[in-house]
Amino acid sequence: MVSKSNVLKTLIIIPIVFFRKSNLLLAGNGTDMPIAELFLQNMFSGNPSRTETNIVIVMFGLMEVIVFNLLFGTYIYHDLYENSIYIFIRQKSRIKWFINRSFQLFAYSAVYNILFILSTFLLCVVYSNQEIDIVAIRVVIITYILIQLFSFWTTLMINLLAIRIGATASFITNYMTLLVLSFLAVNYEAIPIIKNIPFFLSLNPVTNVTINWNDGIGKGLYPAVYFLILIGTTMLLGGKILSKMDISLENKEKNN
Amino acid sequence: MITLETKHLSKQIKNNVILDDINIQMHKGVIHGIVGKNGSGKTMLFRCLAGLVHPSSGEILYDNKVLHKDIATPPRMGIIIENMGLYPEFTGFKNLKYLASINNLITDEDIRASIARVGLDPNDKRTIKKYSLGMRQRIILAQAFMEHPDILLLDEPTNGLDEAGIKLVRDILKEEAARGALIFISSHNKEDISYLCEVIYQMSNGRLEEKV
Repeated sequence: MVSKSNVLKTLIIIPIVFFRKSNLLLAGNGTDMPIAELFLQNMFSGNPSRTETNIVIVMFGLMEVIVFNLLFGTYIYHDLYENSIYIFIRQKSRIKWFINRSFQLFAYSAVYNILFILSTFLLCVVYSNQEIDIVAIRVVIITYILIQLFSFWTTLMINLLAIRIGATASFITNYMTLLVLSFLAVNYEAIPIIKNIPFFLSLNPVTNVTINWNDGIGKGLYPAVYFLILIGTTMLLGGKILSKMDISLENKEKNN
Repeated sequence: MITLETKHLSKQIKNNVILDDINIQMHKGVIHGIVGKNGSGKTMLFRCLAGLVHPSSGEILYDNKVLHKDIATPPRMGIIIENMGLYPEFTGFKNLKYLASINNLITDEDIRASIARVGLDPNDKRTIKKYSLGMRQRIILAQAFMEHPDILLLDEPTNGLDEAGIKLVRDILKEEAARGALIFISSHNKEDISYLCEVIYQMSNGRLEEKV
């Protein structure tokens, strides 16, 4: 069921974008930089390309995704422990419930990311002296697809992990993992196995969402397929966990 | 003819034995009760019978069909589990309509009648988070009864209710038993149990004995 409070949560991204990208509004004179380039720069707070070696900037660039994680990281988890039993005695398949909840999460993520991308794009259009062109539109669409898949996947992972280890531990695990993945993404040249075999670099989700597409490899197709595979695997795993687990035992937070 | 039976049902979590060799047999049209201290295992027994928790050993049978083996879920069941709520940001009607939409067995009118049956206004526009404790318990009762299930597992059904509410629940349970439902209730209220139940079990440290 779509709840008003969850829809309102997605709107929080608009002030965040305007605050974070306020440099565009305050900069005064516009720029002659193409909108697509300006947009990319502002999406990741400093264009983390393969030359970028600052892990903080990469993580900072993912802040909007992290905010979504925080807002919806317990969406399925809380529903499972607080409201699900009256559903499960009626619904034969727990997997069906999980898929349903995952789609709802996907929908909230879609709305949140549309607002995120469009707000950023709008600011770039206002600031740029250039006209919107086909390249800019293409970049916006590809960015949206990748950010959407990435934020949905990470949030789904947090929810699933929360079911096993509790929400707090799940958030910490997720951000530690993101930190490690970001480190591997920006320092790939220092790690011979990743430097010599680009395939390993392409397996890093952070690389796929922030860096890979600067290369134009598959024009965003490879990362999108990659994330779809990750999401599919996570959903299969989630369905299996749920169908075997004991429901309505005290939730992990209360146990601790 | 619905019968519910457990054979050597046990549940262990880590090293704690929560349910220990439970053997019961229950029949349709009869109200069964269970009493016992907090933490004695009553709620866990309800969860196992509802198929929400898998037994560590033993079997649960509905009409001689083994739960989790011959059948994935119990037959049509209405349930109340202590401390488990509905969606607080929706109205009572919307909550029940959502649950009813899973199996589509009843109409909106049936839902409204169920809400009225427990003494609430089906057209109340307030969300559940604005309900009093007693109103919340009533709407949860309505969700348990609304689809006229074959089995009713009710953990503390009179919790938070005033005298009029308790009387109402007792009357409804009598009506449901007369309709042929198999009813199993737990209650701290000894009066409820002795007034309503034909068979009473006593639970202590995960073990069960029949009192009457």
